[in-house]
Amino acid sequence: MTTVDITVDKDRCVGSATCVVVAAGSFVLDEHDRSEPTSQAGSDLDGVEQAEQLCPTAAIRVVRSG
Amino acid sequence: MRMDGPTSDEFAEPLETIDLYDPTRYETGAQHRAWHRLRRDAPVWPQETPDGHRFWSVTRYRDVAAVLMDDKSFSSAHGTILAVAAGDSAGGRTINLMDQPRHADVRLPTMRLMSTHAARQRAPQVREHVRRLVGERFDAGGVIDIAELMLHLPMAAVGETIGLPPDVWTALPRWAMAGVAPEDPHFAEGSAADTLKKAHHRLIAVFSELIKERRARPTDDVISVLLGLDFGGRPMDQREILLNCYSFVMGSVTTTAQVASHLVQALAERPAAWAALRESPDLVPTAVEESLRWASPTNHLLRRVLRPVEVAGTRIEPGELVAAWVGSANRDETVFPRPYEFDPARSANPHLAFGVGAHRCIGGPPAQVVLGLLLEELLARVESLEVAGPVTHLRSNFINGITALPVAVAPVRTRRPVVIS
Ligand code: HEM
Ligand code: SF4
Repeated sequence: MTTVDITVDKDRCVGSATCVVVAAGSFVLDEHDRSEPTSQAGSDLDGVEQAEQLCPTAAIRVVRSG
Repeated sequence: MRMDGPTSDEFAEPLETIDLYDPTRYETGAQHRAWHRLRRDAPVWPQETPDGHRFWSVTRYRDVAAVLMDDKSFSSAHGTILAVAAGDSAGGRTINLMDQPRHADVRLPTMRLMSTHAARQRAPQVREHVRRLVGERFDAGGVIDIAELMLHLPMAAVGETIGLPPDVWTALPRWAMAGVAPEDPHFAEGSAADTLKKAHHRLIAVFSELIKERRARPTDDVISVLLGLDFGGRPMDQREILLNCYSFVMGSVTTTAQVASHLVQALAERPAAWAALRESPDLVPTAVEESLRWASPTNHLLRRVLRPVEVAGTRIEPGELVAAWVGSANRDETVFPRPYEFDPARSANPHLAFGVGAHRCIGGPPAQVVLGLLLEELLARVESLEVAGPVTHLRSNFINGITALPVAVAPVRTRRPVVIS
């Protein structure tokens, strides 16, 4: 089975909200306005990959294994 | 501003005569009919500035968001407003006019100072500033020029965060407005060029003095952080620090005050909305978001194309300019039901008033806090309010501003405590 690991490097996140918009439901901004993946992030891989590409500082990583 | 939505003559203006550059269009509230028409019939609209620079306008929500989110294709370094379509001399040197990776060098250390968390922590102090600003005026009642009063709201929100001492809070907002709209008679001192020069000189003089002080004694404010940050392996030079101070001051003053004025005007003109808020003060947060959508203080944001792109089906080449009209996106009927209605209870409200993408407003949280506090003071102190004279609008294609807003205010007889947060 393929598993997908989605992470956000909060030290690089500039709070653009791009991931929150293009992958609605998969990311939220925390109280420091840095993004974090939600528990649903795995269900919209297209959106998450688009967010990974658009993220201005390459803070999002999507790693597939298995 | 007059929020006239399309009426029976909605398509009376032929596409050929739509000129989104002309600052007088915004002075008379005529932008909404043009944007509505463009969203419907011409989602990518080419025209030229008076100096002959071509720019492509996008007006639909999804296209505006797509342009702002793709900073690898759409650069901010050339300039982000139509007034400097020829190229901004500060390009590449200040936060709002930089691309990656340098942009993040400035943004990451400064955003900590005005995060949602930081803004909430600061709220009690900000509440005191807001009370000092509006308390006596509201309690006394009578006709108040809200536009003039609200000019001072941004300093209550972020004056200390930026590092500006209260003794400059009075004069600075007018200089900032003169800097963004030197053609408007309300802020003019001589010709537009003279007005701009004076505004810049005064702001730079204040910043230079503060920079000197912070070099000697750094504290926890934007100016100190700018002095200490790593800008691609070196510190910022004096000019870069000055330009960034300018960006933070302009970013806060020219926008926050305008949302506040639009909010007060919207309530003064809509007794039902005012009554709804008085009935349910827990609507304050949604009313604040609606005021941001409603006011959309930056009409457009400009970008320069870096690589061949397709925008709403049209191919656009590197070097071309694209204006993303956030004011139009925030009235897009495919996203916002009843877009020309001010609804303080509007719940799903994904407005783009703060932009989106790498340059999304860094000062959003303190702006939201101060607008909520203002509304709470208004609800606690004012029984009813009514527009009491001619309202004038800023002559600017960039800032959706109000320059005069006389409002007759009737104070409450017994003050009600209204504290939400
Ligand atoms: C209601 C109030 C405000 C509105 C509607 C607003 C709107 C905006 C918008 C649309 C942008 C994006 C510009 C672009 O993409 O080119 C922006 C950026 C910015 N704003 Fe605000 N702003 C507000 C309040 C503030 C405040 C209080 C500050 C205080 C410091 C501020 C400082 C900035 C700065 C420094 C930027 C540039 C950020 C970057 O380039 O990374 N703004 N603002
Ligand atoms: S797209 Fe990147 S920078 Fe923007 S909020 Fe998401 S993780 Fe942060």
